[in-house]
Amino acid sequence: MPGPRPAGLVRAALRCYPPRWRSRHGDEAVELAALLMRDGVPVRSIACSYFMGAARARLAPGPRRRLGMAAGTLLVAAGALGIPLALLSSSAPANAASVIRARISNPGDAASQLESLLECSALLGENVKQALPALDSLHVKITWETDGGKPVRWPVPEGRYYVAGGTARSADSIAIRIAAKDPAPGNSAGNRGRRC
Amino acid sequence: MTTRERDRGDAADPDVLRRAGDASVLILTSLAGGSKHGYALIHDIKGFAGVQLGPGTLYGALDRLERLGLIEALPAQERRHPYRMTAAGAMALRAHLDSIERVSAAGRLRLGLAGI
Repeated sequence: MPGPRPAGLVRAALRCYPPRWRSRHGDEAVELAALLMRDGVPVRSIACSYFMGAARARLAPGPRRRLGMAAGTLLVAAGALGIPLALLSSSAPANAASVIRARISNPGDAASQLESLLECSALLGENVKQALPALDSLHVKITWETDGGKPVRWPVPEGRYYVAGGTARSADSIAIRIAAKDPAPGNSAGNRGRRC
Repeated sequence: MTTRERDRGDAADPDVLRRAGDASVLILTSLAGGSKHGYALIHDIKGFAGVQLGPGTLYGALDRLERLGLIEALPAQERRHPYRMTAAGAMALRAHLDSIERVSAAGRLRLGLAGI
C-alpha cells in the first residue's frame, strides 16, 4: 500500500530488533509505521514504541548477554530520541556548525558509545543528514573525514554523503568517516546492527 | 526458567491474561470480533477502548499471545499478517472477563454503587 516512507528514526529503531523478528515482522512493521504516520501519529512516538519493543524483544530469550544488548538498544533509543526538535528538522549538514559540542555522559566511554551507536542504530551507511541528530546525541565533539582520511572543513559539501565509519579520537572527540556512496547498500537487515 | 517455560506455566492458569498485560487483553478482545492484522487491530482498539497502542507494544503482545497459543497467524496477505483467536484464546479471554467482572462487582459494592 502506498504511503509516506518511514523516517530514518523509525528505520533505525526497527534495525534494533533481532534478525529473526525483522525477517518475520520487518516489512509489515515498516508499512504499519508509514500508515500510522499518515494518520498523524508523531514519528518520535512510533520510533519510541519500536525502540522499547526492540529492547523487550532482546530481553525475551533470557541469556545474560541479551541484557547488555537490550540496555544498548535503550541507550541508543534515549540518545536518538532525546534530541532537540530543531535538529530533526534542520537542513544539516550544510547549515550546521562544523563541530558539535555537548556534554558526554561517561567521558571514558566515548569509543564504546560510538561503536554501539553506529552498529546498533544502523548508522553505518546512513545518510549524514539523517544520522546527524543521532550522532549529536552522543554529546561529543565530532569532526568529519572523507574516505581519504582528510578532515573536512565545515560545512560538509553539499550532496549525499553517508556514514562509512568512525574513530574515537579522545574521550570527548570522535571522527566520523563519510563517503559519497553508501558503503553498504541494501544491507539494512544484514550486517547493520549485527552486534545488537 | 526460560520465557517458553514461563509461558507454559502461564497457560496452565485459567486466567492466563492476568499477567499478560493490558495490551494482550485488548488484542484478544479485538480478535474476538474477527481476524485482523496489526493496523486494523490498532484502529479497532482505539475505537472501542480509546487506547492508541504503540506498534512496538502491539508486536510484543502479539508475539507473546502466539507463544501462549491464544492466537495464531493466518497466511500473510501481501506484507500483512492477520491473526485470529484460537479456542484457547477464547477460553482465556472469557476467564479474564469473568475475573474482571468479579472485581468490578466487589468494587461497586464497596463504593455503594451496586445496582446503579
